[in-house]
Amino acid sequence: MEKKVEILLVEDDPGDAEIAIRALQRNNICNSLLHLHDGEEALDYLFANGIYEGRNINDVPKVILLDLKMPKIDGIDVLKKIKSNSQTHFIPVVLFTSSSEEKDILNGYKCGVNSYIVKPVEFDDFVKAIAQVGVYWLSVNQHAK
Amino acid sequence: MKKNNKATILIVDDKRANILALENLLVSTGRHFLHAYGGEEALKITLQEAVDLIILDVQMPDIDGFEVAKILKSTRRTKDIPIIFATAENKEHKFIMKGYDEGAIDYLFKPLDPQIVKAKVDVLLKLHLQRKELIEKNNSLEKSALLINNSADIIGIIDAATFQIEDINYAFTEILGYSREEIIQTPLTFFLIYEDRRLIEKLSKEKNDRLSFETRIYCKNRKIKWLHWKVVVREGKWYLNARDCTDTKDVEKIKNLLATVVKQSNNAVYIHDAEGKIISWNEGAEKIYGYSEMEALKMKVGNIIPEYLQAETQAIIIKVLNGEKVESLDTTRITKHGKLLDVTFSASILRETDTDKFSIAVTESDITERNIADAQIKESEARFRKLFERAPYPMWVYDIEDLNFLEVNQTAIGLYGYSKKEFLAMKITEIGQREEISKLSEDKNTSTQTPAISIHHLKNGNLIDVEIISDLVDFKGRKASLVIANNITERKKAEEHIHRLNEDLQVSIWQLQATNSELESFSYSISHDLRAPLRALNGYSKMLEEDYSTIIDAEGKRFLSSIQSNAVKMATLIDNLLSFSRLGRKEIEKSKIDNKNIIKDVLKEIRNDKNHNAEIKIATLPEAKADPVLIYQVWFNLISNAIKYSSKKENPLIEIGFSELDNEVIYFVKDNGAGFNMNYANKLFGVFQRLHKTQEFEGTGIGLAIVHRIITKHGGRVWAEAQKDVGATFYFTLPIKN
Repeated sequence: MEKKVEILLVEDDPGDAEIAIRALQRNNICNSLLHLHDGEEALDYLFANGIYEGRNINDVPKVILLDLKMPKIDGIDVLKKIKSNSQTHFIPVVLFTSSSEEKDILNGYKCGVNSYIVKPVEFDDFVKAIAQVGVYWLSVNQHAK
Repeated sequence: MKKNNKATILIVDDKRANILALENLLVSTGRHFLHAYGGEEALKITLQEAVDLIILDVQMPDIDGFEVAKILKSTRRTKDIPIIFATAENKEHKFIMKGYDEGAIDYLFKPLDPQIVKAKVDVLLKLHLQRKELIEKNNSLEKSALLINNSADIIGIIDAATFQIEDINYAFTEILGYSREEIIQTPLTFFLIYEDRRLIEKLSKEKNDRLSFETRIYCKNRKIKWLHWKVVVREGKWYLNARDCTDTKDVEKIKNLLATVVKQSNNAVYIHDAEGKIISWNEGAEKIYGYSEMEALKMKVGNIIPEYLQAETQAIIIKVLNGEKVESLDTTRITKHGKLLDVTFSASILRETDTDKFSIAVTESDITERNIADAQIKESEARFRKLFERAPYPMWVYDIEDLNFLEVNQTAIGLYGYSKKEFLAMKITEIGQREEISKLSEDKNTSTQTPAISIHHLKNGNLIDVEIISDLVDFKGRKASLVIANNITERKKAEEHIHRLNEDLQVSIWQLQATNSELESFSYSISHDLRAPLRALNGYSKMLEEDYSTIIDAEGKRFLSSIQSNAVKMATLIDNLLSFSRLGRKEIEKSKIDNKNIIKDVLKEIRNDKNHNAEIKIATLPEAKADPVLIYQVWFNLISNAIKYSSKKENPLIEIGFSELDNEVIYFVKDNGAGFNMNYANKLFGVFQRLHKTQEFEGTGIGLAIVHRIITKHGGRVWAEAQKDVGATFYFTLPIKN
C-alpha cells in the first residue's frame, strides 16, 4: 500500500532537494513527501499519465513545493496547468526558487501561485523557511476538500 | 341745338288763320316759328331745318297728319321730334290711339284752350330740349372716353389717401402688362418699387394741387420701367397722367456713366476748340499734366506741348480738322512742372449738329512707365542670358514638340563634352534615358517643381546622375522647356556610402540588442544557477558539521565554518552584481525630489542597521529633479561609506553640502575617515574595485559603481578627493535643466 502523499516536492537540484527534505524531517513533516525531479514528472503524477497511469487522480497533495527553473517543463508552466484544471486548481502551490527577480515574482502571482519563497543561501535560514512553509500549509492552513 | 339757341316750333295747318292763332298764343322770346300749309311742305321743312317741336293738324288735303308723323318717325333725323296733333273732328278714342301709335306725344283739341295749349307746348318743348342736350353731352363724353382709352399715356383716377386705382385706361395694361382686373381697386403703390412708394406717400402729404414726379414701376414680367407722372389733386382723388420715360432714363444713365468714366479715366481726356483753347479737362489730365480743371480751362493746348513739337502737333491738328482720325501716336508732352512725358496720342473731330462749330477730342495716356518697363524687361533678359551663360549648372532649352536642343550653356558643354554646334544638332533623347523623356513629353504642359533624378550619357560614354528642374518657357515663339541639371554623381556616391553606413549601424544596433538580451538572460541564469551550488556548499558543510560533530576536531570545524561564510559572501557578491546589472537596464523616472527628506530616511535606515557615533552636518539642500528611488540609493551608499570609513576615528564627522552652478548643482559628502591615496582614485568607481582590505572595512566594492551608474544616467558627474588617513570627499552633480 502506497502511503498518502501530503507534500509534493518538485525540484531538479539534488542539493536543494536534500536540504529541503532534511529540513522537513527535522520538523517531522516529511514522512508523506514525494520528490519529483522535473515539471514533466510533476504533471504526469498530478494527471495520472506516463509512469503514474492508473494512479487515483483524486488523491491530491496538501501542498506542492515547486521550483521555478527546471529542465523540460519549467515551474511556471506546471503552475499554469495546475491552476487551469478544475481537478487541481485548488491545490496550494508554493514557488520555492532562487530568483528574487520582480518579473518572476509578478508572473508567479499572476498565474495564481499561493506563496512565493526565495531560497536563502544560508543553511539555517533555508531550514527555517522551508519548515515554516511545511508547518503552515500542512497544519495551519484549512484545505478545500 | 341751334346757334341762336332758340327753340324752333313748326306749325302745320292748311288754314292760315289757325296757324296765326297758335303762333300768337305761343309766341315768346327764345321761340322761333315755321309754318307749313300741308303735309308735304312740313316734311320738306323738317329735312332742311332743325325742328324742336311740331304742332300737326290731322286733317289736311294732301297727306294727313298721321301719315306725316309716320314718315317723320321713320327718319333718323326727325324721329325724336315731339309731335302734338291738333284736331277738331276726331275725338273718338280709336282715332286718338292711332295718333299715339304714329308717334304723337300729345293731342290738342279744337277749339283750342289757350291755357292748355301753352302749358303743353312749354312742357313738351322743355322735355325735348333737355333730351337733346343730354344726347349731345353723351356724344361728347363718348368722344372723350375714346380719346382716353386710345391714349398712349396712362390716364386714371386713384384715391389720394389709399392710392387705390379707381379707374385707369388701357395704356396701363399696354405699358405694364397687367390685366384690368389686377389693377382696379389695387393700390398704385403696390406696383412701385420701395423707394418710390415712400416718395408718393411723401408727396400725398404735401397737399399740392398739382404734382409732377417720376417713379419706377414693376411690370408684370418683373421688369422695371420709369414713369413720369402728372397729377391733378381734387376732392381726395388723384387725376393722373403718366408717360413711359424708361428709354430716356436709360439714355440719361448711360450718358452719366460715360461722363463718369471719362471724368475718372486715368488717361488724359480733353477737348479743345479750333483755336486750341481747352474747353474740357478730365481728372486723368489733371493727374498727368498737373493742371487743375480751372487752370486748364484758361489755357491753350499748346501749353502742354514742348516747344520743339509745336509745329509738328499743329500739322497733326490740321489733319484731324480735315476729318482724319489719329490713333495711338507716340509723342511727348510737358507737364505743369516742366517734366517731359512720353504719351500715346489719339484725337478725333467733334461737330456740333445745330451749329457749324467744331472741336477736337483728345485722349492721351502716359507711357513713360511702360517705356521704362520695356527697358527693364530688355535689361532683365540680357541679365538672364548672362546668368544662363555663366551659370555653374548645366542648362539648356529644348523644343517640347520635336525635343531638339535650342540653346545650351557653357557648363553643359563642359560637362557633357559636346560642342555647342553638336548640341544644337541633337535631341535631348540622346543624352537622357528614353523612358524619362517620354514621361516628360507626356506631361509637357506641367513644369517639374520638385527635382527629378535621372541618369545621363556623356559624349565619352560615361554615365552621370543628374537632378533636373524644368520650366515651360516661350523661346522665340516656340513652346520650350528650360532645364537646369545638377550633376549629383558625387553626392549620390556619398549618399550611398551614408546609406551603407546606416545599414551597418542598424546591424550593429540589432547585434547590440541581441547581446543585451543575451546578457539579460545571462544574469538571470546567474541568479538562479550560481546560487544553487552555494546553497549546496553551505548546506552540506552544515550537515557535515551537524551529523559528524563528534569526529571533526576544532580545526576541521573552523574550515567548515570558513566554507560556509565564503559561500554566503559569494551569494552577496552575486546579489550586488545582479542589482548593478539591473540598474543598467532600468529607465530612470524623474520627479521633484526633496533631498532633505531623503537624507533623513537614509540616516534612519543606516541607524536601524548599525549603530554609529558619527556627527553629521547637513546643509539645507535644494530641491532637484531626479529618480527618487535611485537618488536614495546614491545618498545611502555615499553616507554609509562615509560612516564606515570614518568609524575608526575618535570623532567621526560627516558633512553633507552643495554648491549651485549655472546649469548644475554639485553635492558632496565629506568625511574625516580613512581616506585613500589619490593615485588609485581612478579605480574607485569600478565594479568590485576596493581600496581597502575586507578585514579593515567590509564591503563588496559595488556601492560606488552603483553611484556612478545612477548619476551618469541622470546626466551628472561623480568624482572624489581624498587624503590618506585624513578623509575623503565624494562629489556628484545633477543638471538643473530638464
